[in-house]
Order: sequence, then C-alpha cells, then structure tokens
Amino acid sequence: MSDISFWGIAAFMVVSGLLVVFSQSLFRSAFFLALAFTGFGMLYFMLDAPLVGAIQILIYAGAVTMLLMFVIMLTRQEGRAPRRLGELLRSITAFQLFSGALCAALLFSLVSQLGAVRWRTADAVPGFEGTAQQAGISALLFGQFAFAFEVVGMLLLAALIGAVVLARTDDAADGDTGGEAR
Amino acid sequence: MIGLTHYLVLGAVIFCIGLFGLLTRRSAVSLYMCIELMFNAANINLVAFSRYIVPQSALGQVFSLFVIAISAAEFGVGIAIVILMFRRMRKTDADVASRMGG
Repeated sequence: MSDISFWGIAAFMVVSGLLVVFSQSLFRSAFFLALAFTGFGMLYFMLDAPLVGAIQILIYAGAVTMLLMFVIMLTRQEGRAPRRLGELLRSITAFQLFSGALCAALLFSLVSQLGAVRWRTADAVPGFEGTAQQAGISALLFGQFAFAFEVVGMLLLAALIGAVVLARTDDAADGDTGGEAR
Repeated sequence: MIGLTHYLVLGAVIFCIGLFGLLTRRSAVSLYMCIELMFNAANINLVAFSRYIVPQSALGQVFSLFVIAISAAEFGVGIAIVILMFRRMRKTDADVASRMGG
C-alpha cells in the first residue's frame, strides 16, 4: 500500500515538475508548480512528518503560488505568449541540448552514487509520532536552534522591508502600486 | 519496500528537472519557479534522512523548516525585483537584466 502510494506520488511529482519546465504559458507553469508542491506535501506525510507536510502545503501550495499568480498577472506582456511556442520550437538551440545533456549526466552520476551507498537506516521509533514528535520539533526549534530561529526571523523582516522598498513606486502618478509585492 | 534511496533518487530527479528549467527558461518568473522546485527537492532529502537515519529525533524536519523560511524570504525579494524590472523595462526576461549593470 505504502509502495503504491509512493510510486503514484513520485510519478505525479515528476510529471508536474516536467510540465512546470516545459509549459509555454507562465500561468500553466504556476498551476503545475502548485500541484508539484502538493505532491511534496503528501510525500512529507508519508515520511511521518505531518507538521512539515502541513507547512509545505500552507506556505508553498498556498502563499507562494498565490504570490506567483499575482506577479504573473501584474507583469503580463501582451502579444508575446502566443508567439513563443513556434519561436521556441523552431529554435531548440545547441545550448538547450547541452544543458539537457548536462542535467542528464548530473542525474546519472547522482543516481549511480546513491545506488552504491549502503545507508545505516533505522526503523521508526514507535512512540515518536504525533504530539511527541511535535514536542521534539519545538524543543529543537526553541532550544538548540533558538538563535538560528531568531536570525531567520530577522531575515524575514529584512526581506519584507527590502521587498517593499524595491517594489514601491516613487511617484503616485504611476498606475500600478507596488504594495502587492509581499 | 520503499527505502531511503527511493526518496533520495526522487529528490535528485526533481532537482535535475529544476536545474534544466533554470538553464533553459527565459522569463525571470519561471526561473524563480525552478529555484523553488530545487529547494523543495533538497528538502525531501532532509526529511528522508530525518526519518530513516535518526528516527528518534526531528533534526532534519527542523532543518527543512529553516529551508522553507529562507526560500520564502528569497522568493519575496526576488518577486519584488521582477516587479521592479517589469516597471523599468516592460519585460521580465532574465537577459534583459544584464542591461541593469550599466
């Protein structure tokens, strides 16, 4: 049962990932990216990490995808999208073939290395799930990694301010406001 | 039986898909999508190691939470840059950005 769901989710994610890369329309790319993010979330649930799975779906499939949709709509370039398919098909450049070969080579070497390693794996600890696991996560997050947690908080604040500063309009006469950026 | 290697190989596959997109796509927005795909592929490894190597602790899950937070920060700033680029040059192609250096 677990095997079947793993293969199903894996195929779902690989297909959505490929469609993200090969879709011509940015909207379609973003849609398939949301599907891929949902697949990642399901995978985390399968890996006995329900908290990370829930956060993944909330942040990525929810917030990041919404932001992407906003940006795609804000930066829509008229008269460009229909032309791109033929344009792209005619010009499958040497660089694209080269990067495809590069990625395939990287994938091949990664997979062959991963197949050679014998990991010393352990079985799941029976009591360590649900609330016990969440208590473990909080103990780590607010104990051993409390300083890193604060630093990440500062980073998010800095990114927030930076995004607002970057995307705001200087003159009010300009039509679109930059407030939607974050 | 599904083991650690399966998850790692899946992560590697998705990472390479994202890398290919990063190399070949032109629009800056789709570059960010591919970067997010690569971040998530790395996250699978962290959670899978956490589950299979140290199941008695949630270390890898905490790391993956940090990765999610940092990629969210990166994404926010990147999207702001894309909006700025569009406003200045009316295009979001990444090769347009090479003109920004002056």
